[in-house]
Amino acid sequence: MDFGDTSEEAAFRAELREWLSSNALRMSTSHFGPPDVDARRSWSVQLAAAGYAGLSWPAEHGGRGASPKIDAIFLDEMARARAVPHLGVIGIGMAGPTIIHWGTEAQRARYLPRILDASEIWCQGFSEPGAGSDLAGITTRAVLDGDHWVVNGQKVWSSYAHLADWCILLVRTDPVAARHQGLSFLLLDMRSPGVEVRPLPQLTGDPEFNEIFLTDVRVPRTSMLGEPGQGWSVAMTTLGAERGTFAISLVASLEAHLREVLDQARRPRRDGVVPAEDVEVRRRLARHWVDIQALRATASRTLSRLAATGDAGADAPGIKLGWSQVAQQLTHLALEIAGDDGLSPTSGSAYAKLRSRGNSIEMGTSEIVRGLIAERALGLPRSR
Amino acid sequence: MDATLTVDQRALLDVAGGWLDDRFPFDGVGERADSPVGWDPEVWHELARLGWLGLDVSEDLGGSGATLVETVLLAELTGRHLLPAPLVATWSAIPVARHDEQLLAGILDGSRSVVLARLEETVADLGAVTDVLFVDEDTVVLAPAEACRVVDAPTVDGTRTRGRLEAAPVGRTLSSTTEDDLRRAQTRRSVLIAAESVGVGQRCLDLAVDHAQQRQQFGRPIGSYQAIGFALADAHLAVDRARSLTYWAAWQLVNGQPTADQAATGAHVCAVSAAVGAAETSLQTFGGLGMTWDSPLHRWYKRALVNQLTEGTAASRLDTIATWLLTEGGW
Repeated sequence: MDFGDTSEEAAFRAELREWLSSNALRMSTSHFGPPDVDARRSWSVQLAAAGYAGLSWPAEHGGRGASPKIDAIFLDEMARARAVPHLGVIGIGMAGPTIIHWGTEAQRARYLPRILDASEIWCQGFSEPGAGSDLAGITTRAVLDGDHWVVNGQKVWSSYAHLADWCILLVRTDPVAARHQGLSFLLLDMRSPGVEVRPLPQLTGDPEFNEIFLTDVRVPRTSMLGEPGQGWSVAMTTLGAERGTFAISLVASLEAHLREVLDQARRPRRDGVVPAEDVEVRRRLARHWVDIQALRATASRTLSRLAATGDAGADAPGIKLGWSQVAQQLTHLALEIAGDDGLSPTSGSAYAKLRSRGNSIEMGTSEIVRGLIAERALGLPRSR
Repeated sequence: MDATLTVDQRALLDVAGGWLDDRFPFDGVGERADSPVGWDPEVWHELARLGWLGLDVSEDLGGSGATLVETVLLAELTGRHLLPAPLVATWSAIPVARHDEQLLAGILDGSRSVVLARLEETVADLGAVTDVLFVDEDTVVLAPAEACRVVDAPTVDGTRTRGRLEAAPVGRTLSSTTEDDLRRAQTRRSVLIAAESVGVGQRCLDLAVDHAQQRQQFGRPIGSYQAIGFALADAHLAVDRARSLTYWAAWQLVNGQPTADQAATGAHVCAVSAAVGAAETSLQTFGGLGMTWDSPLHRWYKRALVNQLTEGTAASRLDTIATWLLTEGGW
């Protein structure tokens, strides 16, 4: 049992930390919204040029063939530096690995290089207004017409869709087959006629995600990943691609957030109060530190298991649940520490608090995760 | 990094777990807890023969030369089996006990056991050991237990004795003991109590999960209801996170990491509350059946409560962590 970096891992971490300290485009903590797209695009190009895009991709597809541990160190250090993620996070983390696994040679050659250098941005078209947690219930239809699939339907909660050139799209091609068997997986050109993207502002006011309306959109038959009817299996590759490594970045972002809240607590407020002098505030900060370190140690065990066996284990989704719990408590504490100014419309603490309610919904709701743990880790009977 | 168990660590767990299953069968836990003696001193010789007592004592001092990580793995098992012996007390005291060659040799051969105690402090296992390391500020005095005036201070947990030193005992002063040795003993105790609590919580959960699979109400196993399954899932994740933090803290202590002390303190806070939470979720899962004296569950619940409430407070531990966290450059 060794929780420390090997010498190779430590060298990679040190080099990356050094590089980030002089190059990283950092997230803003003082105001609403993400940094502007042009800055993000050039930062993404810089990441790719330095060899930090698609680390875990095989070398023949432009990556470094890095182990999950190296990939996790990259995510860890990015979050620690509060660096803005590569604009192509969905391409690198989801579309790319799926194309590598399921794509033809022609598809790999066409799509993969442009994901890494951020020249093409990807979004995800899985969830629908009527199919969220129950993903197999999607109704967006694709009907074969000559050499094209004709797609009609609606997708929702799609981050980056307003910027995206391509979309990994889950559609129903066989309405008669059993739910999971009637699905197929398409690579959709977002500039096709009939694709309409509408920003969907969150309760924060931030248009972080979008709705995608699809009306008689023609997708070439050659743009399918896998065979018709294999869509569910392909989609599981997409959703499983980051399991194990992504947890580390969730934990590292909590640590970065806690450091900010500690700084905030040490500074006197406008009313002269130093929040860090309050015993209750101190104990809550300490408890959050303990919980975050417990999550980090758990993520390390999960990652080690993934590296050793190829399987992150049935407990792996639990880290996401724990992250959301701590994140929601921490954003609330930060708001209390901020005092009267905390809820001003431009307050970073207010934004963080409001945004954190989504943490227990996105990437698998807490209810879905608890169901998975009860069923797969504890072996309890299915609850639905 | 490879935070999985090594082949040797898995083998240690297998062998130790098998021995505990034979020696302390689950069905006998009530009888053991209710017996007036509390524990069978013959066990101590068996533990010495198994190499448990000096597991992380270096080989040149006569121990097995393993690390605190391995001792933590055993401590987790002792919680799982409510092993009635002053193991945590003795293991914790080793950084101090090693200053007396004969005492250390006696621990290793199974003839002696020891606990650190201060005046008027309520101390677990004080009535179960052969020797007492009496701590008076920076001075440590080694005294035989029979020469100490100890008042019994039992708890609801019949598997572990507790007592108070009424007077400073007369004995041999261990002048080479340093403040650092005492601090290390305290840190070891935090991690070992954390590990034991993880084992306690895990046992409660295993019992409850088994029950939730078997027990039928409204025509279905109660584990198929989300009200039951979700609560058990949360308790399971809390215990497993406490296990991770405890292993990590032990690893940090062994490897001299800068946050080792805080990790150990945090592991204690995390594990004792996870164990009580798991025990209470399990009691709820068992319903009325769990509320009976005949149900074994309360034995583990009582140990969980004792570990949470009689080993110093969570508040003071969190205050210690907060002071460090809020110091510029602390974390």
